[in-house]
Amino acid sequence: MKILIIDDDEETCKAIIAFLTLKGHQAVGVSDGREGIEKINADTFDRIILDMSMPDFSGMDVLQKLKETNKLENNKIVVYSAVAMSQEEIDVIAKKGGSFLSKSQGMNELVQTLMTC
Amino acid sequence: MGLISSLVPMIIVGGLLEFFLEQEIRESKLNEFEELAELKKQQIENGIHLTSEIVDSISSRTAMRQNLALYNLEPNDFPIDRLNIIIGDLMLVNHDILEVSVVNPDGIVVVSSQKSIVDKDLAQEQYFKTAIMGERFLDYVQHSNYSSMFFSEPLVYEDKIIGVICIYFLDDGGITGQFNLGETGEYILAKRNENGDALFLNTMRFDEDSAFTRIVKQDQLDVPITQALLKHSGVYNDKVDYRGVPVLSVTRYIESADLGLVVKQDKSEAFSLITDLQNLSFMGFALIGIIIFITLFFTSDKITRPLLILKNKLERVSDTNRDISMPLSGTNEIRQLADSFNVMIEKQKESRVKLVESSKRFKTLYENSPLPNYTINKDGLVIGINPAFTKVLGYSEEDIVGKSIFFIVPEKLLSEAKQRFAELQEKDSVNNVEFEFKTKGGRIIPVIASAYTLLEGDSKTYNIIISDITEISNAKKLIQSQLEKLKELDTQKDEFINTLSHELRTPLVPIQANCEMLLDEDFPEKLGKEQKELVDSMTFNLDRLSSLINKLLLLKSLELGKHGYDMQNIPVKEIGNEINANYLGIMSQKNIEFTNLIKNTFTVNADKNAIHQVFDNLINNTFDFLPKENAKVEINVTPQDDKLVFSVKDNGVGISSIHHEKIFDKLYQVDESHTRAHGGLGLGLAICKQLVNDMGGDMWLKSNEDGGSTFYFSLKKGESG
Repeated sequence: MKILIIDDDEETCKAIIAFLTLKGHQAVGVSDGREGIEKINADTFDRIILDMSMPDFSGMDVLQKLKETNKLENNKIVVYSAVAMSQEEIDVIAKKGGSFLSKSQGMNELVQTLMTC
Repeated sequence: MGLISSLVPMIIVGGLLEFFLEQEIRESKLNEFEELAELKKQQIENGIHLTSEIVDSISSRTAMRQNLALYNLEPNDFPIDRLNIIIGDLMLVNHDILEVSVVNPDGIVVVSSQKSIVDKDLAQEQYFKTAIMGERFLDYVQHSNYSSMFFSEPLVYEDKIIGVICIYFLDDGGITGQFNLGETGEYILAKRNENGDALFLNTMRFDEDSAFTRIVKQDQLDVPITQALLKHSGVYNDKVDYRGVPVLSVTRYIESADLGLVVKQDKSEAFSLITDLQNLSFMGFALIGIIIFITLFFTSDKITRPLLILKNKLERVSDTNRDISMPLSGTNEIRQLADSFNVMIEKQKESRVKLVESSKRFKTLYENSPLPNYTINKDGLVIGINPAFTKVLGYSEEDIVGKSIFFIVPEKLLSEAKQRFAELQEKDSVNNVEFEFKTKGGRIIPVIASAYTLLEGDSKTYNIIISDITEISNAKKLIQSQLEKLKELDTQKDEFINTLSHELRTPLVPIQANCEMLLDEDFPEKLGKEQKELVDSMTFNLDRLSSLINKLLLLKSLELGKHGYDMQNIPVKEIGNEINANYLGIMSQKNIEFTNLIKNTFTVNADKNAIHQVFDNLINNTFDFLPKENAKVEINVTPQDDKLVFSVKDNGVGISSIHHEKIFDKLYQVDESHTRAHGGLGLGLAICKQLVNDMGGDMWLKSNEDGGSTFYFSLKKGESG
């Protein structure tokens, strides 16, 4: 699968890319929401791993932008976040076509979520 | 003969008539005089009472002479400012006082409500001489349209006469007005002099120098004043007055001051009506007499007497400018009218006494109130202040009396003050208004003010009581700012925890990912046994750290009410089986005897994740406290009313009851050593309790230090359960 990782923490990006690559996927990472939108507009991905709390352009902003440009339906998104989320927020993410996974869950769970969503 | 024979009965009738009529008139006159004397007596007694009160109050407060030493004043100096305030207050609360002056022992007026007489030398005045010698001087003074009682009294402090106080009272009863007693009527007030003779205290109409000079010898028993001083209260028509003129007189003795009182009128005037009658032609008289006789026969007592009394009384009342209207529509009403008039007089007397009493009470309250009071007239001009006012706001009487009420209002509140004053005028009272006043020194102080109407009518006055709330207000501001600070700190703390947990978790993600990668079957380089063990240990400790952060985050979202619950009816058996499956491995690994008794058919209304979270926390907690051998953990559920009570029981180290209440508090640790031995932040039980509470249940424990603890939590039964 071709996977885009949008996370402002470069170490996290690197580790996820390494693991996904190990598992035979093609993974690309960007560290900023806007950059992520550009990438999505320029290329097609099977899955997108999206962090929520990023400076300037947050994960929610990315979801909003994708919805506005009708790009959301073409992309399967896993929100992989460290911030606590309420059920309502998780519902909102689900409504916008994403799945939610807490960062307390490890790589194996992430891969499983990517496969099943 | 016919004429004569017809005249004879007329003459007889006329004679009888004259006799009856004279009796009637005499009686009504006497009644009138008696009432006058009685009222007069009462008035004098009230006046005396009031004066002694005033003198007492002034001299006791002049007892600041004690403070004179503190003020560094000469013994003969009077605390003028203080006396001015006292006098101002007196005038304020007792409107019958026309003038009050304090005279020093040299006869110089030191303080007076009549500013123009200050510094006047009264040393040669009889009333000063009398009072400075220790005796009360009493006189009446006639003014153009009213009369007043005048008292001069010694001002005594510690048995020493330190001055004289002179007081004019409005004699508003009108009774004393000698002009009300016709052309010749007057009253006499006299006391016994050292010889026991009657010494006149007031000024006579026919002897302007009578006061304190005219004497009636005690053996002159045919003069009414002698009778009065012999304590005879009576009515006399056979006595002559000090001039030797025959008078109709009423005498009274005033015990409280050992005074004699006489109300008298020359007989010639008193019985002028009778003389007039006698002067009428005999025939005419007889004819009129017959008619009057017939009338009198039916109505004598009913009309003549009450009418005469009424006439006089009405004159007296109207002299005092009282607004009275008495519609007369028939003779039957005369009696009623007289009755009600008497009732009115009685009530007046009563209310006068009450007024004196309430004035006294008010005066005391006003003077001693720790709260600033000030009194204003209907136009909003300040007419008086109490000592507390000066103390709190700094203004003395001179500073503020006569000034507008708005004088002490800060400019920015002027329009509000005007609005409040209008409200007061409209509603007669204004209560507990938070406001600000300007002190003499220019400081603005916050106050609570209430105002009410003190006196009604033309001389309408309002009293305003204020309370300086500077301290309360400061304290309020302090609390407010502290509260805001605390709120800010709380927000900061929340933000800090949020950021902290996020920032803590972020670096964990790559570490965990890398560990997983090292252990992954696809990882190109296989790890050796020891390497694998090390990575396992890293992963295990990562999990611990991660779980701690999870708890922090969870608790945060619970507290913020951000945690959503998916409430469903879940068969408890299902939950029991799941727990059993989850823990079977670890229990046998740890050599713990695990018993699952959750096997009945109830359903519970709960969020499945949350209920598992609670069980996980409680079961994991037991691990830290279980004994090394024969360790047992048992889970159970029992129905209780509409609830199900779940329990996790262990045979580990017990928990002392002193901790039971606080153990569910966030960050609570049973003791320091536990913290070290068992780790954790004290979040688990706080989370459990919050979860259970959110789902409508409660949580508690039973335990003792000897061993074994059972944690219970209740949840609602499912509807079908």
